[in-house]
Amino acid sequence: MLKLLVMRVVAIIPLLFLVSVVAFGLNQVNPVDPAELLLGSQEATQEQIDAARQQLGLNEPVVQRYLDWLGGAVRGDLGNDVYTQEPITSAIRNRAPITLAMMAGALTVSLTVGLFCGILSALRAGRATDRALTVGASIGLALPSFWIGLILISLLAVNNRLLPAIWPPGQDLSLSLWLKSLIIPSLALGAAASASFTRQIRSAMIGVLQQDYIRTALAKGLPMRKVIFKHALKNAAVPIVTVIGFQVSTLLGGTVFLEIIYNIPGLGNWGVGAVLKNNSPVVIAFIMIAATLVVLVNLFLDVIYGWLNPKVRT
Amino acid sequence: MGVKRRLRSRLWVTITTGALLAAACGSGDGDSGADVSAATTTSQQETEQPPATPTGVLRMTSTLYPLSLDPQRDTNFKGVWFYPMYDSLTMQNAEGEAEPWLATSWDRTDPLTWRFELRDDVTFHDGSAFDATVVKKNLERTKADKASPHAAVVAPITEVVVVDPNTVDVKFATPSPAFPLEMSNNPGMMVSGQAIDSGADLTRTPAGSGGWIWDASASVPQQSETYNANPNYWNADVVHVQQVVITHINDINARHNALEAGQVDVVDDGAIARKADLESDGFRSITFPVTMEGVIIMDRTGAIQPELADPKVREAISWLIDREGYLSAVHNGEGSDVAGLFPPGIKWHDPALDDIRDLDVEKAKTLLEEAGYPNGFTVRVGSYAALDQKLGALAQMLAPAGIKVEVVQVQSGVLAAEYRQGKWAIGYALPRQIHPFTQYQQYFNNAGTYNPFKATDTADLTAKVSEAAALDDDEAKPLWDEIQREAIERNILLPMGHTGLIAFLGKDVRGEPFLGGEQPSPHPHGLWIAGR
Amino acid sequence: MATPLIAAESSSLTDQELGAVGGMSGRKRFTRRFLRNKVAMAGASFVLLLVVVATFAPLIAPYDPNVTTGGLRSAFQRPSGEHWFGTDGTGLDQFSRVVYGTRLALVAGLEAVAVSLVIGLPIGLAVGYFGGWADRLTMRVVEAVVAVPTTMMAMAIIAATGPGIQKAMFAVGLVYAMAIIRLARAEVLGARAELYVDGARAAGASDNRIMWRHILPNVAPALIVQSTLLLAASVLIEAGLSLLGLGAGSGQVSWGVMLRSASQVIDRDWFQPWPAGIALFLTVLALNAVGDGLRDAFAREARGGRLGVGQVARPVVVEPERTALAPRPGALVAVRDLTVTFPRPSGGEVAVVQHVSFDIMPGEILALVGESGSGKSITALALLGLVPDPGRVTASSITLAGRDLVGLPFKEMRKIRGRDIGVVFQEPSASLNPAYTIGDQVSEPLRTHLGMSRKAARARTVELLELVGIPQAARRLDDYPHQYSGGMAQRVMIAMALACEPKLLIADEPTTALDVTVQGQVLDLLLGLRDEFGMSILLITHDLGVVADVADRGAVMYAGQIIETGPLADVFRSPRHPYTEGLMVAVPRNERRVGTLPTIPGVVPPPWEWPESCHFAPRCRYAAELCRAGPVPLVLDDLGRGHRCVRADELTLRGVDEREAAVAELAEPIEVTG
Repeated sequence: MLKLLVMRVVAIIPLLFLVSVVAFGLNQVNPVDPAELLLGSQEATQEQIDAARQQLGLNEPVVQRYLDWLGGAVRGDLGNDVYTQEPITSAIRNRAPITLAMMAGALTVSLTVGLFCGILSALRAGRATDRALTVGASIGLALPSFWIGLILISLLAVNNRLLPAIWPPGQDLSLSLWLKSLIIPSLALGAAASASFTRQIRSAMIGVLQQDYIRTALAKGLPMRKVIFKHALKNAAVPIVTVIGFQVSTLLGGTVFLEIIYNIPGLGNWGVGAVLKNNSPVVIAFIMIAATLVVLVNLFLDVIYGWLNPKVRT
Repeated sequence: MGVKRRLRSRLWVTITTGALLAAACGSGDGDSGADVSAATTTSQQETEQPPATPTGVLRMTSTLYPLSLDPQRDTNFKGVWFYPMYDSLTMQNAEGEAEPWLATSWDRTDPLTWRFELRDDVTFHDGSAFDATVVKKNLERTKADKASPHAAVVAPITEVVVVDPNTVDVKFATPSPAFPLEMSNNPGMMVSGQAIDSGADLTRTPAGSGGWIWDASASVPQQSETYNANPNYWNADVVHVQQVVITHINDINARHNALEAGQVDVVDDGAIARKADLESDGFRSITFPVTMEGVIIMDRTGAIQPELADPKVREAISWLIDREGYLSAVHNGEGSDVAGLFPPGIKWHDPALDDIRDLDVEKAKTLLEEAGYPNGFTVRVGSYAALDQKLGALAQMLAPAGIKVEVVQVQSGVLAAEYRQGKWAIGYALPRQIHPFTQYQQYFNNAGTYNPFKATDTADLTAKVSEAAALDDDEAKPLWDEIQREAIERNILLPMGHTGLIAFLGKDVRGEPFLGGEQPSPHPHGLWIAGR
Repeated sequence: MATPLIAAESSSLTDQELGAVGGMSGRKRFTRRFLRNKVAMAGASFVLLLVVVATFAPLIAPYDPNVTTGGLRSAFQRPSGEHWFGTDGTGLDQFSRVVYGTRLALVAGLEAVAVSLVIGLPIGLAVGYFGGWADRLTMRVVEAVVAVPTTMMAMAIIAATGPGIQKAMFAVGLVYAMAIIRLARAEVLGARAELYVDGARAAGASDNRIMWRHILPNVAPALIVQSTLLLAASVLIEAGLSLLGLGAGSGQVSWGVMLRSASQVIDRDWFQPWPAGIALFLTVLALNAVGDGLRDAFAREARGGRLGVGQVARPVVVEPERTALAPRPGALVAVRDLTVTFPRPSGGEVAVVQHVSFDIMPGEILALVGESGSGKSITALALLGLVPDPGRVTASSITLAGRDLVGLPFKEMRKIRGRDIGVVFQEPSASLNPAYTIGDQVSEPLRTHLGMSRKAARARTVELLELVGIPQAARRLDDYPHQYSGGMAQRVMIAMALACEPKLLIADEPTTALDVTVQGQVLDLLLGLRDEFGMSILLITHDLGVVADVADRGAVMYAGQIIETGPLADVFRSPRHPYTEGLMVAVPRNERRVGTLPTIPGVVPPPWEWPESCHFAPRCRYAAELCRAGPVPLVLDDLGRGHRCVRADELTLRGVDEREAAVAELAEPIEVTG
């Protein structure tokens, strides 16, 4: 098992290498010229642009630039932001905790809601409760998270000042303010995922509830909660665990919009901005974070999967 | 009832999907900016007195974050980040004219020399003193930096001469009448001589003399910058708050939410449509009225759009521009619809030009017929999200004469380069110049950036422009009026409207705001927070 | 939303069987299931509407979507008779733009899906089919691409290629191709193991042919569902990208573009984003509904949870059956008038078990015999109060050791299940929870009913497992069910059923899934345990050999009714019902028979085709006019011998000796049905 884990972690390295080559290649063909944006004006002259390109090192050959970057990356230096010269590693240190906390919050919210509604829906399959929850979940899936976010901001922060309306600026937020500030983004981000989990858990539960071993559990005279939460849930969790893996990348994508409307200094908006502005070191760093995150999450889920499904273990 | 209705309409706005997606747009490009010269405040007379010593925190916003804290390495539009910690030589007033700041006075000793008299009581945050030598070092530093966004301002400087510790002469190759005004923006912000001598990288280590000192430990790049009051400031009368915190908030809804939730005190680049609502709720607004939006016809040689080579076609287009309709559709009716290159309220406004062009579809059709295009033609124009409605409006204005405008999507970051490369025959222009000289140089001069097709249609105006540039502004005004008329009649840059940006102040912000500069935000100077 | 299908014989009546019974083709069944799904139908209608609107946009839209009628001055008009959805910031008619916008939404969505299929399907099929290094490399790349959020990946591609709706949707299609590759590969891997591929290969088909002709049709359902869902996502992404300025240009009419221009003026006009926003929302909702509907229609299993177990009720109208007699004196179990009904999807209900009555004496083994679909398993579940939702159970009385179980709530019934009544089900492997150890599962009734400590329960579990003959029980306690063979698993089930020493053991086809030698061992075990504990056994089986071997009394079920009952020897030797005769005559044969009985034509019809009169009449060679006249009651004598045949007294039926049957059984398993 441990050996397997180590193998999986080691396997990330060629993947990251591949990602960096692709990301660098994409940036090469991106027509946006960082020098142009750095000067920030339509009125810049060609001379200014050329000078800026020279200073940004954009005139060096691509291969040379990639090798320079790779040399640094191997030593843990991911380069600097093209525009601000901020070291990427320090930017990640500042931004990653917020985005990860937001995703964790959203996962917590969505799994809680998803489990509750999914199980309820499965137990009431075909009845009014189930129909209402199914329709609700479909609507939840079709509503963009930032829309929900804006409503929450409007209701909870602007009209009633219960929570912050934007992520509070500054470095040293108190823990309570930090947690308070996570509520709206986590709820908004978790809404769509809740809908998705509700559907998945419902269908997994329905499938499991039709299994013979559930009949056995009932025939043994177990109380309902044991039948549902012990015998059904652990089996229903097997497909759900796979879904969580997919959700992580979806959630990461979803953070982008919430970071914009809630002014969160996180990773998502940083990554998208970098794509649009051809800020290659940031783009590469972002893609690598995303890939690593998904791989690590999948690794973790594999461990859980093994626990849930004894057949895999032996 | 009023409050209820407002709340409801606010909620509607919020719930509305577009807002969200508007958020998603997160424009992020710097050229949506505006000139800030004339400014009007809607404040009621303040009777409260400012605190005796700097007190409290003033929380401000900025649409864009600074790429560098070196004033010569970022654009005027982001001035708000620099004014707390840097002093500029001059300060721009509401009429778009320069007023004393570090420089107490200035005049031209000859048409090619500006002489500045300087304050003698200014000390930089690093303890070094400000004097004429420092000015010389600063201007030379900027001139040496070819990649500075301000290269054009200092390019004509030939020499900076220290006359005495408090007097400096700046000499030019060509007359530069707008130079004192430019010195109110980033190019005029003075860096400590000591820092320049050491050759330090100023990206994250500012070295200014301003009313507030940058606080490295409380600042986070691309997020927020914090500044603490400078106890030794030469102009302590305008420093009322102990701390200024500026937060980068790109999304306009987020900025408004933060203001209304009481999380910030000053919001830059606000939503003009919210003005009435917010004012009746006790917020203050500041409008910055001068920014021209126009169509620039670049391909006047007919290289890629043969029709445009004919002056009659260009004139036809100019008669199709419906400025009033444009302002009403695009800017909620705010702004000025005069046909001239400067709006009322600005020194360079000429009332005689107000109606030199007006909507006249029949005339346009006749002109097109004369030019041999009775059925019009199709022209392509590059656009990105922030320009869509504007260019959509242009398309609607030209449609009645049969000119079909095809709006083509490009990435926001590449349009300027493509203009320079001659890929587009016409384009959207946003002249921010407050002085006719700089505006002319940029948009009309055949040597300017907007002449990728090498047209030679303004060569004959060069002499007159040089003549005007050599004169003092008051003397030059009649000449500039003439040049404006000539320029307009050549149908190169067609104004669609003179518009502005708006900033909002929180309910408990007191004091008269300093405006000046090209950023859409007041300065922290002169403001304080009631009860804090 | 789910309209539960009839769950007849222990809900194992699959759609396939239903279809076979109704003589429907697979496609027809699929269509019928889809048509029955109201939400999916609503979605499909909406999508159809979109297609119509897109096709006939010029006829529907009152204005040109790109030219204003009144120039810029007509901008920002609120909805009116002239402009239903008002005008936008440049004076364009919003209704016309929404109408024309359907074109781009559909075309763009289809483009992305088409690209993803064209790229993803061949690659997925190929790497799944051939495997090897190409497979590993491909999956690595797919993993990397999937790790990055879709929108971001698309943005990166668009950033490189420049904006434009075709390019943007191509980029989206490229990202979605990864999902298709995964799906196709997984399905192929599954299908490759199936027999038909081997068969095709043996028949000399080329790899190409096998892939496209044999595997693809099997992969198709999953692909169709996935494509529909991707279509919905594409439409949403088109809008999102257009909104960000990366997709459609402002010269094009797209909902995303409408939202973008509306977003620029949101502070002035809150209404503007709504028409396009709602169109988008409904489209996505509708496409998702269609996707879900297709998925459900393709899925084989019936929907609906099993946990909605309802309590047994007393019938509203007590129908006078002559069987409503007093129970035999001293009977442990006495069931009277047990009826189970299920609602039909088309309305009304159908009784799958009708007026079943029987007694079981202490220590007695009663065999309930019948073909699949006769209702015997559901009868057993009804006794336990475990008939799956939405089934309804009524009985005038079900007594266990004198206590009437009718009307007991779940809480009370559960104290009887596992404690007073133990059950052994047919499929031992499926009946054990794969996620928990054997020890855990066997000790559960001990801990629940007897309140044993974990330790005590564990010790007792070892004893129980030893009792049912599991070698090295203590060591195998922490093994999982998949580590047990079928026979061992059935012993575990028996141990579990016996844990609390119940008064009644219900054994539902306890040996069917096992091979012949193991069958004998399990039966011997049951008999031995009966002798040891003195419990009664309700043995449910279709296997007459088993019955002959162990049962004291027999009850033959046909089409929901007990049609003959009595001491086993009597029933075997001198059947009174033609159906019993058919069963018996079928016994001493040496070939294994699957499906129909040679002596009785046809199969048990589905419950809704059962006649009011004698249920067996349509298949009975002795059927006469009288048989079809009306309901036939169970005629019972004082010895508990009874039948449901109006002509019983005129007919002379052939029987067999039960020992003969048992001998035949040991030689060859006898199946009376499939």
